[in-house]
Amino acid sequence: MYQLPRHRKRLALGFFVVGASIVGAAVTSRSIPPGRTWLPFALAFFVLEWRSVEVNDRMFMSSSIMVALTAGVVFALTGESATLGIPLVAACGTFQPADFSQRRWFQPMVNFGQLVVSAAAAGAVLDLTIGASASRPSDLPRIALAGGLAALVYMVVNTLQVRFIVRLAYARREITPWSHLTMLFGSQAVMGFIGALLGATLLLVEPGAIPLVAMVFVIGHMSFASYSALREAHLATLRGMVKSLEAKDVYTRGHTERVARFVQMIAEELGFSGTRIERLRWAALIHDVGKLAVPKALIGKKGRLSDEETAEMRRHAHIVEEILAEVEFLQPMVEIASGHHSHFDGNGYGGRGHRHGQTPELDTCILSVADAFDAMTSSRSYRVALSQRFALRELSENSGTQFHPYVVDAFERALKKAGEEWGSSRVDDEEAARRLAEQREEFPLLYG
Amino acid sequence: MASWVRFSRPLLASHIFPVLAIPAASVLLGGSLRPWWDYAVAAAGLAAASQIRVAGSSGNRLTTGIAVAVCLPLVFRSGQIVDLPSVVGVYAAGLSLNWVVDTLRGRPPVEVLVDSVRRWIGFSVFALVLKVSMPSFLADVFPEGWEAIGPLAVATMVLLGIDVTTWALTAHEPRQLNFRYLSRLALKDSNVFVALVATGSLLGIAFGSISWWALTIALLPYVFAHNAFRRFQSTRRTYRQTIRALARIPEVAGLATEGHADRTTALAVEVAGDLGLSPNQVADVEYTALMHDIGRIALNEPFIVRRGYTEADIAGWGAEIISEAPYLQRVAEFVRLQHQPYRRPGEEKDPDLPMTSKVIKACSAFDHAIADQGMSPLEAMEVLHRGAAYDYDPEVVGALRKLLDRRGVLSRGRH
Repeated sequence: MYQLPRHRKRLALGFFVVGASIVGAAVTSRSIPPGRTWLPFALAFFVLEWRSVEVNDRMFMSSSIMVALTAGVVFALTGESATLGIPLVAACGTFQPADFSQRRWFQPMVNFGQLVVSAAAAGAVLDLTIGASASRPSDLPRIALAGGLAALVYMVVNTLQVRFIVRLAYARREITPWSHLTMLFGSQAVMGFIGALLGATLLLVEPGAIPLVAMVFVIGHMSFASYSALREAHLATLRGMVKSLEAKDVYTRGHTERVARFVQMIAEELGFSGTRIERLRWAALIHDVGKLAVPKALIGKKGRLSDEETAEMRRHAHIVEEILAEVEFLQPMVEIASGHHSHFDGNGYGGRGHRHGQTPELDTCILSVADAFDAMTSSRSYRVALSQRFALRELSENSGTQFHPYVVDAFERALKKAGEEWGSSRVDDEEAARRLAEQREEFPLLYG
Repeated sequence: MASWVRFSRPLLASHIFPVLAIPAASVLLGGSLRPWWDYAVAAAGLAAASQIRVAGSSGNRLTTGIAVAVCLPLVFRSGQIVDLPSVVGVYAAGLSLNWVVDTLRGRPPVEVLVDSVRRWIGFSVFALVLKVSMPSFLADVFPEGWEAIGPLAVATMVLLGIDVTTWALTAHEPRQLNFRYLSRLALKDSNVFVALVATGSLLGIAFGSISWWALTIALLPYVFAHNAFRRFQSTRRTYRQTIRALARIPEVAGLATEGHADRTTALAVEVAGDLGLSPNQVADVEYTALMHDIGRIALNEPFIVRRGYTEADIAGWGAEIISEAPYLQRVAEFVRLQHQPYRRPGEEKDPDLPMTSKVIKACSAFDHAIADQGMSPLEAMEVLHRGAAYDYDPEVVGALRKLLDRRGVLSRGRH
């Protein structure tokens, strides 16, 4: 069984002790809010942490911070201490069912500690800026701004701690730079602003309004969850169907997945952003969809194609556009995909992504290099797989004419870094590869 | 007579609301308790909010106008007594204004008129229920500060009932879908509806204590929910586009008749609705119909064509392809079963054969007979009737026949 390193155990324990002592102080102190005030908030906090929904691709929306600040403002305005009250609410949200079922204890303990500390910091901001004053509608903007500020403090304290923990416990894990967190901080501040506003309003309006606020939030939250699920289903469907449609052909089976991998390697080597890599991967996954509509008799033909057959074959770059024309979200990817046979010097052919006489977009060049490399290092009906050595030599010989030199270099570097070897180990020459293919058995049975 | 009706319906439409608005205005200006501009702002708010449509399964049925309409009786009241004439008048004025704006924006005037009238009825009954129930026992069972909850819940149920029924009644003619299916479709949007009503109630209740701040408080959670609804529906649309695009591959490759999948889908969805399938089942029918021929992509392989194949093979290959998509297992099974006869000689009807597969089988055969074999709809129907002994379920064939009859397709003869 895997043993946790000792320093990680100590770290977990340290954070837990700090958190527990703050919660302990809250429970024993006189100024603790009554249970009926904080328990509903704690419950809401728990549910929101448990069922957090994904908004905007990668950003997890934590509506829990809003609830924490709503609770904090209610405490502060009713003369209780928010510094002790918010940690109480937050403490209830840290131990999630999934942790218990998977018997994890390191992460929840650290989480508990750091959440309670962040919550106390936010509470202190509220206690200092609001104070126990009977609020009037004219106080609302001031209180809301205090909430936004408290949420920012919460985020800063939280991020500092997380970075500290990651450095210590997971020495090699990458850390998101501060500059990438601006968006997150902004949205959290807005959530805090809203939360504080809600908290102050709850004291001003009749209590019957409270479940209405909760209701709209819950419905919105549920819709977001079903949106995320549907989005996931959609992507999985597209991925699965493209894969299975291609599996009907023995020579393209796995081709797109490999190209998607190569594309990702190159893009990472060139330092592309996550969304751009994702877009490239999608372009790679769909780049040969057009080929599905070209008669197999052509694709599988041994020997050279006639001019007419070549024209028919080349149609596939346009067909991908025709087939996927209606799928709006795929249009940028279709543009990349339809140009994957264009050359760096402006020759070649293709659909929208190809403009004759012009260097294609960098993304298109990446796809074209990855596609050509996999075509050479995998078996075709008319020849067996060539070696990686041969393929790389071919790429660099045509670099500057067919292939983008910058991309070819990046690909070589990436392959070396990954230490991967593709293609056959021996076949270094195209003629030999063709001869070997002719000796091979009859076309394998695919159906039935 | 007929030409008079055609001529006058828009004309009539252009007069009804202004006519309604005149007594409304006089009620408001005459015996009202508040300055007239309060009502003007409310009517303008209702009109403006009615312009914002909320994404849902039932097309453009819901607008944020519902939230404003719900808040009005809670704002225009003294104590627990709703000022019913003013509220109903404001509804009429606001919806008339909305009708003018909609007409100017190019929506068909009659359609908007019908929509406005049905909304006006629903809102007015909502306000009436609140007026009757707010000072009654319904309010007393709740503690101090919670009085509005009971009456609101009852009035919301009534409003939902009226809205769903009137929408299904007025929408079913242009859409050629049956009432039962449409009302179930409308009920699928209940979450959106409840979010709108809750937002409106919140606005109305909070307005009394914090006046315009209530707008901020009510809007914040709502904007979040609105965004979620919109994203959900747009993803659903994209999902459908993707499925349709992939299903077209055999057609683009020349392995299936161009447009066959689309026509079969249009027909199958309506037949399924007429057979009383639920909206979720109809969605399954739609996906199955779109992809029922996707297995034909295998015919791209020359050696398969040489070897020969059956309809069962195509269904099987199709199911194999679809089953790779983790969320379409059900659809894959329907596609696999689409070629099955509904019963075999000497046996009873197969109870395990899903209705979806039977609908696809009949609709696909119908379109095939017309598009590929050049038959008239009547002749194609004959083929189905002849096959009703084993191949096509008589229930499905009957529904298809009724549908075509209703459209007058069968009497038109060869097309």
